[in-house]
Amino acid sequence: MLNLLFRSFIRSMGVKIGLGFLFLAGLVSLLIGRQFLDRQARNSRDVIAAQRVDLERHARFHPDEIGLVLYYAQFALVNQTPALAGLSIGQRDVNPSIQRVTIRGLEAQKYDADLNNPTNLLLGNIDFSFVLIYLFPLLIIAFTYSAISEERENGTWRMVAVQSRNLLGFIAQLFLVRLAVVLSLLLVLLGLAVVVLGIPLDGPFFLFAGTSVGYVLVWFGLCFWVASLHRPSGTNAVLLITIWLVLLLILPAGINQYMLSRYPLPEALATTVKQRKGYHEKWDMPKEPTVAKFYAHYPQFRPFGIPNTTFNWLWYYAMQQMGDDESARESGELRQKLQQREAVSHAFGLLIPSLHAQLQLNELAQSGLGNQLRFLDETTRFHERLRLYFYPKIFSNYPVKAERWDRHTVKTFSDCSPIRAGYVLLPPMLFGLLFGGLGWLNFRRNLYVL
Amino acid sequence: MMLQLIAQKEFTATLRDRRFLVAGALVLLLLLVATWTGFRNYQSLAQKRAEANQSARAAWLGQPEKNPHSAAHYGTFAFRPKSDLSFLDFGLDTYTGSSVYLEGHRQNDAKFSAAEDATSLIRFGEMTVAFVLQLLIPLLIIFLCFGAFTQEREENTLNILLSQGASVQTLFWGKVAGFARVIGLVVVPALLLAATLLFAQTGFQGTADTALRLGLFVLVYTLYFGLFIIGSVFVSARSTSSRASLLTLLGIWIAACIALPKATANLGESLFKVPSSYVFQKELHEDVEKGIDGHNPEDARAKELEKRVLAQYGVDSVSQLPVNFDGIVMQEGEKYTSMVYQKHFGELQNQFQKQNSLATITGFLNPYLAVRDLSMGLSGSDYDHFLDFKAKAEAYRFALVERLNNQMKVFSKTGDWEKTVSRDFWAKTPNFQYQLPSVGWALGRHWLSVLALLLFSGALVWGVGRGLKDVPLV
Repeated sequence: MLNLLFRSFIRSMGVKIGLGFLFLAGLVSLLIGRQFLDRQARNSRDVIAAQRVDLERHARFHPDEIGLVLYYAQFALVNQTPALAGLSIGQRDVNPSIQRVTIRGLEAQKYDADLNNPTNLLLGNIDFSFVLIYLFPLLIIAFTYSAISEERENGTWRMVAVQSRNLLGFIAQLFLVRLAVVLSLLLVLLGLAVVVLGIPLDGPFFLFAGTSVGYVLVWFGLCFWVASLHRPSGTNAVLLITIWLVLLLILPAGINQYMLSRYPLPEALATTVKQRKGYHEKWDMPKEPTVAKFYAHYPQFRPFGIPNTTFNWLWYYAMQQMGDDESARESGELRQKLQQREAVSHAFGLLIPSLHAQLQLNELAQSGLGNQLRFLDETTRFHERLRLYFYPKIFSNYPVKAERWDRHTVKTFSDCSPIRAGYVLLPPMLFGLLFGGLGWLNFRRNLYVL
Repeated sequence: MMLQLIAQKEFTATLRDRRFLVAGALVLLLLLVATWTGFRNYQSLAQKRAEANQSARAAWLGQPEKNPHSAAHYGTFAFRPKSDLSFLDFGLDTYTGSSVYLEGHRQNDAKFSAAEDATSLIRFGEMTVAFVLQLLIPLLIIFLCFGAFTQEREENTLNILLSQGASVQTLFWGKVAGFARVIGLVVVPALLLAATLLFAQTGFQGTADTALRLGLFVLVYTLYFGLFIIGSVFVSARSTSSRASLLTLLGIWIAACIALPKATANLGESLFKVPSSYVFQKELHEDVEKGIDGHNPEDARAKELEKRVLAQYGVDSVSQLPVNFDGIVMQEGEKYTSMVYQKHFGELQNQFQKQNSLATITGFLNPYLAVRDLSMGLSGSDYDHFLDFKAKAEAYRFALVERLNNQMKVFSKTGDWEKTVSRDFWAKTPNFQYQLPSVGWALGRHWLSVLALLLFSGALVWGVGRGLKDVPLV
């Protein structure tokens, strides 16, 4: 029976076109992912190769003043891009994956944006997550909206109902065949992705695949439920497209709007303004209070004393430090608001499968806001380590030549935040089961309404 | 006469359809909510930016007596004001930086876009008026029109209608007119609200420019909806069943409004490559150091300048100059670096414009892209308006730094970095005030999209005229 159902389903021209189109879209998305990964790799290669040369050049140009060398010297921290990010580019195109900082004030450097075409950012990428989240549901809708209603409309349902020993089983098989076809397509694409993007077969990948399957199940659940309402094909189609519209366009956009107004962010700007003021006004002030504040922050450097020359690197870096110290409150508030936004989106995601899928795929691919925030935190720590390493050398005017500049290689940040498999997989499974179950009940109740 | 009768019939029939009433009311509600929240959002942003501009100015004015060059390093900020119509279409505003830090020696890129602070949610799109108008109303039109002919055919009323003397043409345009009235019922209230909010904001003294922008905005969308209605009714006329008609139309909608725009963006990005941020900075620094042509290094330029200035004042050492030579050196350096920055940013922006032009060209086949482009252009939230802001901010920066360097040159002698200007000097430097370019300028930037929209409309009407000649009756 299953075999016959499969053959009658796959014989339709529309089905073949739909599958072909989605397969093609999937392939394109993989190529775009490949392109994205290549670009990321090239960027970090450029930076890694250049840092050594640049540092040596600065050291050669300013052989007597390590303070001056460090005024110019930039140290890079790369946010490692996992191969999975090729499947779900997320915010990685908006936020730079490489931070290059000098040991001067951090706040002024932290939010440097990449060179991006804003038009392309607005339009977004056809990455795999787009194909999965937007296009797969359409295919599922197209495959199932008339699966049963068409038989009714053609008058064949009565015959099926009379001849079938287990009508409920027959309905289940009708959907299972379609589910199997769609899941096969999904798995083929994921299999190709492993090859094309060089994705390691590790935990995140299997969770990524699991989330994708879960999302497909949610849509099958929805379609099954709509089919159980026994409406005409046209109504089913309109109803399902409306659900698609609400889940993928209206709710996300509405929630986004809500979050923007609920958690407004004047602080990003306030931080820079405050930082600039904190640093620059020190030029016109006596040195002693600035250096005293610096020593209050870093008591370990007190032995270096208070400089008495007109210009002194200790004083200079103390001024820079004050820029960061005096804007620390604004900076912290900004970080907190961003974390709130991230947390609230995830909470909404628990109720809205499309949001959950996108947020979790980005989280697994380390391309969401969460990863960006952790990268910024790591940048702060990285910057602090550089400062603590170089401060004593600058203050004691350590010979530039004695420093092993080649040891300051580009550092990489690998995001190892824990993944909660249950949190990722349960919501879509529950949604799928809920709608599937509701549909099942409906079918059982009205099974022989012909 | 007949045409009006048919239009009236479609209009009345639609209003009696409960399903449509629900869908139409929902879209209207969304539109009103989008207008209102968009406006609130715009107001708060506009206010914040105005305040930020004021506080940046206050910080500038509040500087103590200091050396002019120290002030050039202190710098100031230019905040991009929101354009009046941007609450209808946020356009690129979410993805472009909101402020530029203006300082001596270098041009900074605009920083702090809203997208950097957003969760992945933002990539689903924003609930703006333009979003509803560009994506949801077409969908409503599709649901409204897909059965226009097929239903008549399925119920065997098409034969009867035609046998009563109505031509297919009359029937077609009558239906189009009827549906247009229905859509007007949904859109007009929201546009009235938008216009009221817009003009109430300025105390009903809005400029002619804003009114013109709004008028054209309405015109563009009217045409857009017209295209969708004509296209949908046409597809219905040519389809064998309502189901086929609906599927075709939904397919077109998804391809034109969801998938194709992204595809053009990705294609543009791979055709016209831009350097990584690192390489960009490196090439920039190299050009400053070695000269823009690679044969005019920094120290050679300095020597040449010294010779020229000494000759000009007829003295033979810098210390004998009646002016501060450092001021001259810095101004010359500023001119040179500005030129280098202009070259590199110009090349980058050219590359971006090329990427964008792909979407403009695709607009000839896909009116969604042309309308999107025009809508952003009229709302002042497109890339051109952003570049205009950047250019004006840069011009202001250059004038400011030039003023400081000249002050340095005339009021002290070479090597004197201690002499300060009095506090009232800060107030004498003009404030940065950004003026939105005129609507004519905006149209000039988007004439290709205007042409694309008009050509597409012409082609559609012509194609419909031909296609209606052999419409199947059963």
